[in-house]
Amino acid sequence: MEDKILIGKIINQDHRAFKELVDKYSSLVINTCKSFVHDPDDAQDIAQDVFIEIYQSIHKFREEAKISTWLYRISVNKSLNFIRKRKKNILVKSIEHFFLNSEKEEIDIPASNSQNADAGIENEERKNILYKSIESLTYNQKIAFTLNKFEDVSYKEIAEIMDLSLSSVESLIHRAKINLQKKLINYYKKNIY
Amino acid sequence: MNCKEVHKNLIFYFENELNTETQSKIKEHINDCVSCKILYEKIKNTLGIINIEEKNKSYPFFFTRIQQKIDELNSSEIKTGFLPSFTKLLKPVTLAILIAFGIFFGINLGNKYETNNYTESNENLLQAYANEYYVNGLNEETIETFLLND
Ligand SMILES: [Zn+2]
Repeated sequence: MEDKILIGKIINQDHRAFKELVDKYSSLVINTCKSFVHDPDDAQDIAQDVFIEIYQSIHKFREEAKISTWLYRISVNKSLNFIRKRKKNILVKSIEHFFLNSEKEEIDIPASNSQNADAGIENEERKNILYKSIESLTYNQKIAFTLNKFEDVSYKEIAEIMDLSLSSVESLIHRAKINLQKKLINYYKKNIY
Repeated sequence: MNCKEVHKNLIFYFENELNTETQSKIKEHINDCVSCKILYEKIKNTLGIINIEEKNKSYPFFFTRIQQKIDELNSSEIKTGFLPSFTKLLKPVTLAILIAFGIFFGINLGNKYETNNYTESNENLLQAYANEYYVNGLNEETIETFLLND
């Protein structure tokens, strides 16, 4: 069924149409959330909330827009909010630590020992450093880079999702790459030589 | 091409985004320079993580969970009649706790500095605070940061 018709039916409280929409777009939404939060269970939880928001605000949807653009946008917002809350929890934990006067607990990247690390551990280390580096990008660079690299979203659609011009998206992704490169090189220089 | 120039372009080399001449110059350099080769391998493998992230598993009960959550929301909307009086009571209590916490925190922080006991964990805490308050919000990129960043 075409998206427009589907949305019209959902507005008219057609339950089956809503299920069809969820089935059609669940992997897009879940994968997008996962590419930001990197945890499959968290991603599913957030994705459920994305569809609930869609369900509750479907009557506000502008007909000329693409539903995928809307889905991406809500997925990004909810995922980044989730990360923000997670950071706040880390803050609360460090306040607890402060009061308990306990030794500091490392939340940094675990030190590498690549000589005797097996491939699995090496991949974990790579994941850690990659995600940390992406996390350190500016807000907009992070969104543009993640959508393009993890989800293969075109620059044009990213521009629509983020409400920016195409050239701004190009420049965001370019600068994201330069910044990532800096972080990765700094990290590996310290850990190789 | 020297090592520094190669480092500046490794990510673009990996993505094959440079012109043919630069691509081949870097390729040449990497073949001859052990440290750049190692660094390139590291970067290549790290960025390669993006492509091996698991995708498209099936998600059983995904729609059922959404349905449950919507039902829960609908039924809690009916119950909200009880809520206002409860929140009225809760607000001053929360405020009092926050103020007490603030004072306690302030005294503790003061003591820490006085005894010159500036440990690394304090630094972490302050860093976390800084992140929270300065990296929060929409962090829109202004023209200024556009010009300053690179
Ligand atoms: Zn070199």
